[in-house]
Amino acid sequence: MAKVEIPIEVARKFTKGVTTHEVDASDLQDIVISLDNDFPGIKEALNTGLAVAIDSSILQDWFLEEVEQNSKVRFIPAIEGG
Amino acid sequence: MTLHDGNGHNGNGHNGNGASNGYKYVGTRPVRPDGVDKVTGRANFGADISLNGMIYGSVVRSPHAHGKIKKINFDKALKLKGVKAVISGHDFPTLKPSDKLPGVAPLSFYDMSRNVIARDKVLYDGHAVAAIAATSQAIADKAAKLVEIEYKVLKPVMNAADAMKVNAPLLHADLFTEGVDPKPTTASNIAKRAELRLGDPESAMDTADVLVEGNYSTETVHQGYIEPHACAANFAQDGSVSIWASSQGAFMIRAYTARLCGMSTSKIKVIPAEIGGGFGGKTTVYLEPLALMLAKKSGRPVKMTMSRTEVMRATGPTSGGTAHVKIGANKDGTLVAGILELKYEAGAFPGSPVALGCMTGFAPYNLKDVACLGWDVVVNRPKAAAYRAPGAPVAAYAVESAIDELASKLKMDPLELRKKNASKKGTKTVYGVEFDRIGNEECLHAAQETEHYKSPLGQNQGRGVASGFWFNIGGTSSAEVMINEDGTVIVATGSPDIGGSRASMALMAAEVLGVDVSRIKPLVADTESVPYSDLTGGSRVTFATGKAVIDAAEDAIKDMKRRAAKVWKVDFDQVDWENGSAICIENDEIKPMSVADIAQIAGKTGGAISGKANINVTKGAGPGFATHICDVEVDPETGRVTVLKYTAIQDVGTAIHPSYVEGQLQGGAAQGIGWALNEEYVYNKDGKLLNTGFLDYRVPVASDLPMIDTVLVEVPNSGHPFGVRGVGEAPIVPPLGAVANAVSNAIGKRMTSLPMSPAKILQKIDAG
Repeated sequence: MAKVEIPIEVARKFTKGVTTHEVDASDLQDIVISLDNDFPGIKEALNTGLAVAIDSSILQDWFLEEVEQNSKVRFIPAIEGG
Repeated sequence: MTLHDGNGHNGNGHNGNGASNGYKYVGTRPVRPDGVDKVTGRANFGADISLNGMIYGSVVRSPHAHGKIKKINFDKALKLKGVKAVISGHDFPTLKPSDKLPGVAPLSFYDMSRNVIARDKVLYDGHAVAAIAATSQAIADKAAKLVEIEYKVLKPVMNAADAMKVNAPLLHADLFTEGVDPKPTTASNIAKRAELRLGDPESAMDTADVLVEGNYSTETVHQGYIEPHACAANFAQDGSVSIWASSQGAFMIRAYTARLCGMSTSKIKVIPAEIGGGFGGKTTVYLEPLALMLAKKSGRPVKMTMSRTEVMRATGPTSGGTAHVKIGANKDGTLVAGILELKYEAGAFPGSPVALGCMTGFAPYNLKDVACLGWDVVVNRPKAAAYRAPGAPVAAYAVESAIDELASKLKMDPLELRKKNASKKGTKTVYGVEFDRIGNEECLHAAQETEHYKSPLGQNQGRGVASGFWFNIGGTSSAEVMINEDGTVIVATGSPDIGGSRASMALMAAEVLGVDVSRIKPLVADTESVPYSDLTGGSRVTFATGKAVIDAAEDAIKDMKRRAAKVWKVDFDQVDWENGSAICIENDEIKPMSVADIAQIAGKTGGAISGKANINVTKGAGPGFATHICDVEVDPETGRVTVLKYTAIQDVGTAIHPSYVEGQLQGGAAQGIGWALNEEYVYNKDGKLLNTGFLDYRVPVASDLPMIDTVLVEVPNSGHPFGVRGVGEAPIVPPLGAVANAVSNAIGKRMTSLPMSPAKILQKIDAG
């Protein structure tokens, strides 16, 4: 089970404020679909304006990246640069 | 970890002896390929383009900070001889709020289009309302003054505090605060609330032995690039258009212009001009859609060039903002909690970098209980654009000031306090990510070891230190490595060179190919000559485009090994690549073939040789940390600040070209010093910008600054073949705090408002 953290604002809107979730999925797309099954509508929120960190790596442009069983996955604000 | 003293003495020039880091070319200091053209005036920048039949554009800009456009009358302008076309917002496609750039960071084309040219409302002094093309610049400018525009002037709101008030004038009737639940039912100027939280900082704060708390403010500042925005557009008979533009991304110009003008990207070719500075400010479009529409209407090529005044009034500066910071610590100096609240001015449309401020402010510290709250607020100023490490300097200014105050309260050395609490591998950030190997502690240690930090101070002098952090990013990049018939090499990428990246691309290609760097020509190709690349920004190019170049060079080597195997009639597996030559592994009697040898017979072995790489580097961008030391002297009678000595220390991973890495550090420090001491947008009560030129918008010049010393800390990034970390953003994060701490220590009072003008300093001194 991957440990998935979502932003507070998203959690308040979709998960009654719970930011940490255990998700059985093999890639990021599956994680989003799984969360959306439990919390309808969260898919769009997670797909908009958020990057993803898998353990220590930040993925700006994520889609089908694989996650390990014990991966820590965090949806974080997207990063721009100057 | 290795250290460079940063004064140009440690590395090698291009003398063929190799660098001190085990590489032959990486880490050396050859002259940049574009250098001679730039210093002799031969380089072609955006304004240098000249086309047959070309006419000139001029923009009509709002004199009001806030108002409704009631009527635009072009009659008088059109009667002027030489006027060929006029446009207003009505000439552009109507976009919807849902028109966004798909992807992780959705960009609103709806807002961008209304920023490029106003529709029903003007939202800042200088907002484009119409544009004219004529046979000379003088006629176009004269015609622009003849356009009659009737406005209903509205009350402007110029700062976040006023804009957040309940009864503040509204910029957008359809703006509802994001990030709050339930979603508001009334419009406001607050575009977004962003919150990050780790642990329970409020409870942890109650356990602290010592607390520091303060409010800090900064003003809007501009990137101050030397070259004003400029472009030219020319339609062909088939309806396709070529755009010459100076920008941080030719593909960005193509995509944004296509969307705003309702064209297919395949119909637009963007040819990158040399760029005279960007720093994030050239990551969007201003003139290009206007030039395209004027060219379309007039049937002539149209060139448009901004004046400095236009650059200041109408292009994106970075957000001014306020910060409230609270930090708790134990008596031994261990930080126990941190709380930060930021309010950033986005300008006329949503999108300040406040979330990034929240993410970065406490990143140099190992804090288990921390919270950051950010507010993105629209005001009647130009739409904020990116500026090196967007959002981070203002947050760092507040946090680093508080850390300095804490060190003073605890009677601890400020670097020792930072070292005691430094983030390191395994530290969890407020945005939830645990750091991999980073060089934060190494920077602090290197700072302590500098002669600068050990040197004594005189009367009215003060020393400040500050830390800073930037994520660094990867992204999509493409490269092609082409082997010429004589064995020289072309390295083509789609990444505009804004900080010496051509030199670093050539060095990395040289290292992989084993070809002398003088035989490699790097170039920045147009949008029809290389596959798509993200824009140059976020300190991504040496890292991500560099990876593409490395992959493309390896692809070319593979091709050359295949050719050698063919000539030698051996299996491909029998060929290896060493020192720029193919060698036969099991038969050392076979003479190795150099790149030139293989290139010479390319036609006989299968045709031209090249290597390609199209990649999206999603992982591995090593974060950057920096520590700066600043000494100042404050004249107690005038409040004038003289920067006496400045040292920038940064973990740069591996410095591919140390001179240009040092240049990045020095440039960031200089810009940050200007931000701290001089720079600010000054508006009158009606929201009209008063300081629109470099005489009264005061960026530091060479005579204002001492030589900025640099120390390159090299903690290689395991996510890059040569250990590269991005270096362009982090250097502007610490200076605001470092200079503020130095001034505060010099006068014995905390400076909490930037810029620290002589008047503000005198006021603080005189306050007793």
